[in-house]
Amino acid sequence: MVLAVENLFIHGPSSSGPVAVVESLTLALPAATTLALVGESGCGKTITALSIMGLLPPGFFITSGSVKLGGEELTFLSKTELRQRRGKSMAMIFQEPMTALNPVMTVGRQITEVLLTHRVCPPSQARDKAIALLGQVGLKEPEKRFSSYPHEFSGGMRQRVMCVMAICANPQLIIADEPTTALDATVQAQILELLRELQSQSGAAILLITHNLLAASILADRLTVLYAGSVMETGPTAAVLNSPAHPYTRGLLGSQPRLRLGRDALCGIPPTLAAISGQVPPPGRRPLGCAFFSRCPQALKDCRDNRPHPVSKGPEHQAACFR
Amino acid sequence: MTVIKDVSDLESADNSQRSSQLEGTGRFFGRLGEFWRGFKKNPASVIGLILLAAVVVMIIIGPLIYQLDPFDIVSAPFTPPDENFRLGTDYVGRDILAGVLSGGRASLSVGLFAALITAAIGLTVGSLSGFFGGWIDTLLMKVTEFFQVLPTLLFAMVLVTIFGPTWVTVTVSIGLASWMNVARLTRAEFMRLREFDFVRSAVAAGASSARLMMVTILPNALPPIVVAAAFDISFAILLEGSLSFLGLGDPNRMSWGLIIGQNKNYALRAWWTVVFPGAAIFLSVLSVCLMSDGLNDALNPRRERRF
Repeated sequence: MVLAVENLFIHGPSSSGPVAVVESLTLALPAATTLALVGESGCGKTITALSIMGLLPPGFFITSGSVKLGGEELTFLSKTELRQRRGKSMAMIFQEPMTALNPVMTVGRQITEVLLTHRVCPPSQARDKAIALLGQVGLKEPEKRFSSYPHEFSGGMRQRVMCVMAICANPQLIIADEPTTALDATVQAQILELLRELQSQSGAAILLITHNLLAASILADRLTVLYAGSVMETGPTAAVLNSPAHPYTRGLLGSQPRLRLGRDALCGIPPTLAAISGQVPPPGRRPLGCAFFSRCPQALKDCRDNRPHPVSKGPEHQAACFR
Repeated sequence: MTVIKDVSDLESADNSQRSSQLEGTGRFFGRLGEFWRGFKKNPASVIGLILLAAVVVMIIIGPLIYQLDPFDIVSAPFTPPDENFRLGTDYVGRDILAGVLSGGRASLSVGLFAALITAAIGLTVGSLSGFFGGWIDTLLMKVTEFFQVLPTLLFAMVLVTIFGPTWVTVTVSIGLASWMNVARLTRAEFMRLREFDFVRSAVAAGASSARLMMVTILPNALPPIVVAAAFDISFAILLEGSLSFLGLGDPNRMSWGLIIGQNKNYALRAWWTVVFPGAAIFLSVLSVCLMSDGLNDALNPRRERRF
């Protein structure tokens, strides 16, 4: 198991003291597999990622639970030890490739910085290694790209550079936080393809954080649906998407825009999107029972006061729902 | 003014222009050219640069050609400008031209080095304060505020009086009395940049605090700080003039402020004794100020991107 998160609680600041942002989160991610963490904005996806990296913003704390990377407990590590792990055994790809690169430093220098920080190779070979990596992620003329500045790159090219910076120290775990959200549709597919290719070469585990179920379905082996800080459903991607067991997962799938071709399009039937009414309850005002109670179309009486525990719905497929 | 229709237009224009100036040293000159294009947009700053160059050439080469000791008594006191003494003589009969030429060396060198000290202290305090925040920030900003409420000239005078008037003490005193603005500016830039995505991604890649400050943030914070430091040169020249005027400059070195200070009582009788060194101070301060404006235009990252 590369990443094992168990019963993780994260508390964040609010006007009335600390409130739980992530509750009882459990994730397991073996090598060379991809787990997608999906859910709406404000569900705690990014906070979870940051907590694994040890980069929680001020005021946020891991209050209980364990995060193990390659068997090593990360929550016990000192700041310096965590810093040495970052970039070396776990790396992160950010959402906004346009702003995630240093504008006054050449792309090559930024990559060699990472190589030298983690002593991946001797300084004399750093340049060649960086150029090789730039070629590996599909950039043309890597020697020339090495001495270019980020503003000379398009969004997709920058995200490729971010991928180089993430993989260059051969991390066990790559956390990709909305890696394709800011990109054109055509480039999105290329970046997802690139991530899969890099994974098959290096055997790294990928934690994909996204609200885009399509991206998740392309890349992920397993899906974990997060809502208001709690896991609603988890299972193999195909099982979760084809037979969603939780009303929230069904809602997410129903609100996914789809292309209609053929007869429906000709008949002029307008596409219908089933929006989930209401909003994600903010931390501190979450229902006592099921987190999804206030928006659930199939809520039972029980759901208001009792929190459902994950129940098996199939092989390795669990959902936290009474129905 | 061209209207950019599409972002792709913008990028391709950008790429094609850059790629022509990519290789090696050509790249450095390309950047220099870009800097110059920004700089020359402001005609006043070009005038300032020419003026400053003229002043610097004059005070470097001038004393080599016009080899007259500015402390030598060469004529009767208050000789008006004539063909022997182009700018006249002062109250003891020393040549004003020799004084103005060699006095510039003291004034400008103090100005330059005091500004360097200012920048060094200001950058250190401001970057630590802005990067770490918390109690470090509170402590350093209290110290900065303490220095800021002291009257600058008075503080410099006290320091010079305590440590004696030499070139080094004058320079250090001026530096110590005027680093606060650079510190506050640096702090603000670091606080702003610390929240940027590229800093976060450097943190996620395992960069240490020192590396983040020096390699990631500082180069991005420099442009406004360079402009402020350039302004500080003119401020330091004025402060050196004031100190010398009050008799607190290095008495063994001629300086513009010293000439004015010693002749101030006779200014109405012999105008040339104060007008020429005064004009020298005025011109050098003006040229540095004008040039700083141009630096602002050329370096300001928030300016419109030029193609």
